[in-house]
Amino acid sequence: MSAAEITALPAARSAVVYNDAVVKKFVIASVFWAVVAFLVGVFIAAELAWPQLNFWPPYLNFGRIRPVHTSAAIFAFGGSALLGTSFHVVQRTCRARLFGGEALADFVFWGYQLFIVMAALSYVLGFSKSREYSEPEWHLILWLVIVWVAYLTIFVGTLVKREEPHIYVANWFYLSFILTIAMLVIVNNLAIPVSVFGAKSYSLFSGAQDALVQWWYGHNAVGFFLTAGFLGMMYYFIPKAANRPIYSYRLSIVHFWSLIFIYIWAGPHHLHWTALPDWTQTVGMAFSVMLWMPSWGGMINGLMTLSGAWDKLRTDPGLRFSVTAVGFYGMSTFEGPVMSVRTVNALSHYTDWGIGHVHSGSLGWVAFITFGAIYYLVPALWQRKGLYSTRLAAWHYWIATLGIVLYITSMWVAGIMEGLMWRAYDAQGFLQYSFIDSINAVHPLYVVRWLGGMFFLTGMLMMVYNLFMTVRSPSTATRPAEAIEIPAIVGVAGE
Amino acid sequence: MEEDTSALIVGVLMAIFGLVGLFLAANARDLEMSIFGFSLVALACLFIFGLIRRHYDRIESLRITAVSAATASSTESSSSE
Amino acid sequence: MFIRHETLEKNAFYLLVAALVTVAIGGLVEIVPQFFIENTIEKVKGVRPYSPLELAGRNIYIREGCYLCHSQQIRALRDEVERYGHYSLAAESMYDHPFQWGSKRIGPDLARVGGKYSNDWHYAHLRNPQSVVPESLMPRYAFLEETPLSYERIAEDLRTNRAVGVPYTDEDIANARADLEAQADANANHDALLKRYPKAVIVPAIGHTITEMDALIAYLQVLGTMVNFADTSEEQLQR
Repeated sequence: MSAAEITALPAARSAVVYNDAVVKKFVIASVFWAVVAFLVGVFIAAELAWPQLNFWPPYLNFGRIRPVHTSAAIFAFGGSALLGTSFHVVQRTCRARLFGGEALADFVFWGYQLFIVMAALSYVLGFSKSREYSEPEWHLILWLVIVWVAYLTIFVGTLVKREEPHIYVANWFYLSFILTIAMLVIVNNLAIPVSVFGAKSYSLFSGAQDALVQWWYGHNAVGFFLTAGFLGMMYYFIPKAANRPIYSYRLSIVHFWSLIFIYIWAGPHHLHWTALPDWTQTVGMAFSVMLWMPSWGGMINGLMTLSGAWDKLRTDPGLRFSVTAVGFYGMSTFEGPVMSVRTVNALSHYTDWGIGHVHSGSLGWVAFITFGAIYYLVPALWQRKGLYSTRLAAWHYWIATLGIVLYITSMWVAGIMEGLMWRAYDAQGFLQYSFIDSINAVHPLYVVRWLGGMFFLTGMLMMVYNLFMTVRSPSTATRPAEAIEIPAIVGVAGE
Repeated sequence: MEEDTSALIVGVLMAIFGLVGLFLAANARDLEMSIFGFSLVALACLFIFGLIRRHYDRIESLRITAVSAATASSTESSSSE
Repeated sequence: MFIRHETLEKNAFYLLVAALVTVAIGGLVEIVPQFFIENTIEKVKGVRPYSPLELAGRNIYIREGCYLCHSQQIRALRDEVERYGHYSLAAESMYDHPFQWGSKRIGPDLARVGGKYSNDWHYAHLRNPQSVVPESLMPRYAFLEETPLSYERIAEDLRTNRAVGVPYTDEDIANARADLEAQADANANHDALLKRYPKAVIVPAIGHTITEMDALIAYLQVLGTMVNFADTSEEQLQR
């Protein structure tokens, strides 16, 4: 390479030198937290099958560890994946480097990791707001909001300085996810601390209103964190891996706006038959059923993008993960509206059916779409020829799929059984079973669920090994190697 | 330019967070708050250290690029692949 | 009237505003009326703020994540009402900051557990749940009995609750510590406590110091007992 080229390079390419360093960090964090989340998940599943495992009270008691599992899965694993891929996608689809420089992007990374570690630690130490999926106390939420504002600044700033005329559809989803999560987190966590120097706070709302605010948050954490954000991922990585354009541009517009509009209304289906006013429950149910359509709009757009490229599923296990993810997305967004119908909900609520439903979404959709993206990203970001082993990735695919099937089928059976036992009457008109009978009855299914989790975790460990070996394989890039050599020569010469 | 401005703004903010952390840790009523305070301080220190390091790395690499350009042009002019 | 989608697609700011407006509507329509429609919360007698000991116990309930396995919401379904008691009223949790309705039952509902079991049963059960319910999946909470309750600043908790809308009086706050200690002492004079907090259950601290377990049991024993349904007319429950 000539000297003129070396000096000319930074100037000529400065507009499109992407900040990949922060994306790499988020990918590593996401993989790390996935292992943690699945490990803790398997542990608490084992606690439910064998309660003797609550052997180190209070720190390992189920009640303190379950929020560690949910936060690690949603915010640490899913969140790191979302932040990382959004930074990757927004730069490429805007043909612009991240706004705000490396320092701001690094702040978002380290600030977010601090939030995660502190949150997990605080649950174990006994500090929780007891709002599901939003357990961290007020000071951590405040910190998260600061990080989130920085994230929004970077994202919108990059959109503004883009060189492409249009904002790509994946970015609509990422943007709506960032905005809505900000709104949800702020409102749901309104609280007054007992002292600014203590962690304890009391929620601003109470009782029925508090329940509605919490489930407005809770359902839309699913809707915007675990759905809209990951749809953004789908809209970039599936076309990219399949090397096909999005199936329908018009469909993406229609389903985007209808999805974000309707999702917000669906929260009250978590509170059917409770002390929440009936009109709110009915509105929530109606919108939940309506939500089926825009959800499937996304599924159709994702799957049909494959038309003409279905053969790639045979050769690209990453793409196989992504496509199966869309399939699971379709399944659980059909199951959701069914469960939100009040009569069905009377049976399914408070049972393990809900747990199964959540996991068909989180394992099948969220984790699989992320695995697909990561299998694509790691060779691309580290500039490697390809994955270390596609065979191993294929094994990961099958073992993880088997894990999900075990998980959700056992939870369906367990949930429906619990629901039926709780409402069963004997010939004399008395309740047939005591509560503990239902707990006894589901024990074998809890064991199967734990086994499913073990399968999923095993697959994840295979992925870690595969990615690690991929990164260790020789690089296909030429420039970075030279860049390392030059300073060594000049360093000596310059003395 | 953008990198320097960004590092300056984030660095100042980080320093403020570090001070807040120190303040929280000093007055903390419970374990959770003191851990949080100390973590903020630690993060702020490490982060600012990282910013300083990167700043000098950047200057260094610019100098090296300039020097290497000068030496390269004087010795060999066509070594590209 | 009709905005071309291209306008939104080519301007990050328009897109941001349009998305924000779109996602704000649902929440505004569903949540805001809850605070203004009068019959959101029934007008029933008996619901009172938690006594200081109950409040401290409630904070332990929250801390240990009990809500992850126990709901506190009896749904208006025949089997639930027969199993657990009268369906839960919104009024019964109106002083709950935050609410504890829960979302999953790995253990039974606790909305009306108050008074169902004796204090002794609760002590035994919390120490070792399997000793009274052999098949139970519940972890042991014996450590609560070894942990002295920290209540030096309980008045501040009451004050913060007042700031979020719980009607504690100045007198309640001034007597918070004394009330807490009285509720955990069988030999104390309970007149003042019971006047301020009717139906508060005395949990004689075993030994001398008040433990976290005492507080938790005081809380459990008041759950669902505040409203006297015999004196409550159908009309009051109509919404």
